[in-house]
Amino acid sequence: MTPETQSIERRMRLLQAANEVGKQVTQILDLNELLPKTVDIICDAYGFYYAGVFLIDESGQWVVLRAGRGEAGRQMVANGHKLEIGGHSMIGTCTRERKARIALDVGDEPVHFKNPYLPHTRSEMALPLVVGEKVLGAVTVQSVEERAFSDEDIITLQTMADHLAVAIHNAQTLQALQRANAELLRTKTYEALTASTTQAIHWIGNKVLPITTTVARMKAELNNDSFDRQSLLEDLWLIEESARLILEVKENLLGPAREHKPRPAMLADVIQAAAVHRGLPAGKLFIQEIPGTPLAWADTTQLVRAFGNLLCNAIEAKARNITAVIQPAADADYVSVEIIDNGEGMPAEILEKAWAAFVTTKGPGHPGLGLPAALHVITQLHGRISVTSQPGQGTIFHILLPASHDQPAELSGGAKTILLVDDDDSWAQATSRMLTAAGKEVTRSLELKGAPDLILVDEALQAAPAAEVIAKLAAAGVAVKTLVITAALNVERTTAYLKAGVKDVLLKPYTQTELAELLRK
Amino acid sequence: MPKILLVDDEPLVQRSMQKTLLRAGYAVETASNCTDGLALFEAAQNSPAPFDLALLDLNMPGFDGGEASGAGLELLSRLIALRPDLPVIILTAYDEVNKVKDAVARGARGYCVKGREQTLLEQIHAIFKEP
Repeated sequence: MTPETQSIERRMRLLQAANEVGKQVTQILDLNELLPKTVDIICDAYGFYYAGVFLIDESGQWVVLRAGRGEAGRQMVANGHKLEIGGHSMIGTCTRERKARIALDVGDEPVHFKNPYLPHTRSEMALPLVVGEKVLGAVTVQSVEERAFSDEDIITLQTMADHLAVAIHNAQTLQALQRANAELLRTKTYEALTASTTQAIHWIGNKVLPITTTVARMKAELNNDSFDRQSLLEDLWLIEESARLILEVKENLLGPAREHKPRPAMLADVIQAAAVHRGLPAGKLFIQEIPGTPLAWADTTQLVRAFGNLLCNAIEAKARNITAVIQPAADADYVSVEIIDNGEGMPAEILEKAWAAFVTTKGPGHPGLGLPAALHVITQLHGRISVTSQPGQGTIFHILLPASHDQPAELSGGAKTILLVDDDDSWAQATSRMLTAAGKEVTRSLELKGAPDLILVDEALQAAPAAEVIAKLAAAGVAVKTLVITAALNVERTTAYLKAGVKDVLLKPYTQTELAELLRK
Repeated sequence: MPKILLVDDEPLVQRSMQKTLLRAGYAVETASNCTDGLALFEAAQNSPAPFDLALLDLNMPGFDGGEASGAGLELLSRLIALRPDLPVIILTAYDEVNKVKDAVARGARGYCVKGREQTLLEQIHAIFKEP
């Protein structure tokens, strides 16, 4: 092989190694991961004894070793090894002049100080890390061979250093962006928190004020020999009303913030439950579910709260009736719900503020937290909600909730004969189908028939109050076989059912998996 | 006159509840933590006038003196151990269905969320009307 071909081959090998380093380093965007890996990547690609990366510090006077190969590198980084820019070191000079430098037989190089951590170094090259006009620092590569580098190698190794500089620059930019974003987020969160806290305290202060002034008035009046009974009763009403509003705020602010436990949810049933819990007059609500709509992935207790707020909103807007349309969303990962009412509607200027807390068109008797609470619940569930409205025509709430795709589970175990106490709604039909398909004997009735192994009572029963049905089952001695199922758990009702002797009060199963779990109880 | 033990660490809530119960014709004695509550109960238990019912706050200083979530449940169990047929109603500021189930399993007769205490007197009357 002629010396010329040898030289070409060597250049090819070095260029390949440069490309290899470039390919690997540009994939790493985390600066803390990039630098330590870089020195290993360089040493492995070229077979070098040592490589180290220096970056300019904030003062702009020093280059600081940020990563070095092996134990030597680790110790030098730990000791805060740094060199003055433009000082006598190869790295310092290289950084200032933006030019690669080579030292061979390092012990004799006058500008180099012998490094006790790297006793075997015989050749060293320092390469500037430059992106555009900006110098970031320098990289050192060292070999145990004497005369390991020639002037010709500078070009190929500088290509490697340029790749590295771009990767470092990208990682630094990303880090700066992340820092700025975190800072912005902190500022914004704090602003939002301050604004809403101030508003809440202001609002509560306004509601407390009548209590203190009324109490002062009552005390003064009671000190008189004669007092106006009617006026005192009114004063008490003022106190009562103020307290009610404050408690309502507590419930609306704290309720949606409670822990969310998402699970597959049948939205038609959840909306039905919301209507029953909020005491919606019968015949007001129509639920239309397009067959084949997937279940949603949501915390049903929270969802009952959110839909309850939307339904109350429609009733308060004097809706003659409300239609809930549930269907697959255009994006298959979501389920779409529209709550459509033919009430008064909202003008544009109110619509803009509809999601803000403490904004209401319904007078001072309403805290104006229903829609913000619904927004909070649906956002927490990774869904979206928006509203369109026409004054005099009505309002439509558009809701998207993440879809849940459940796998059918084994239903054969547990109870054989089941009494299902429920209205003839889509949940009862679907559940009855699943149980029958699994070989269960399902009876649907509002009262005890035969001797079932298990009785399921839907709490949101429209045909009769659930409490009455449960009392009758208890009187018949079958409360211990009875499970009350509900879309939204509530403490007072749960206590009452448990005291009536039912076996348990559980979240309503919407999937075969949940149903199988319930049957095992 | 039925005698009620009321244990709650919020002075205003405690006094207000006490007045409501006194008005309704019950004798009421109060404590502000689990230790004092148990001591009052034990003392009365060995006297001619033991308590007929206990109203316990859920979150209050526990037996170790520290504020504990659900400390009232421990007091509930200690009282029921002393008198298995004692009617106990748990008072709380929070809706926590799991706490309800725990309380009923430990023998509580009722559960009342503060701010919705209109039902409290009804619950107590119903308990004393039981045969």
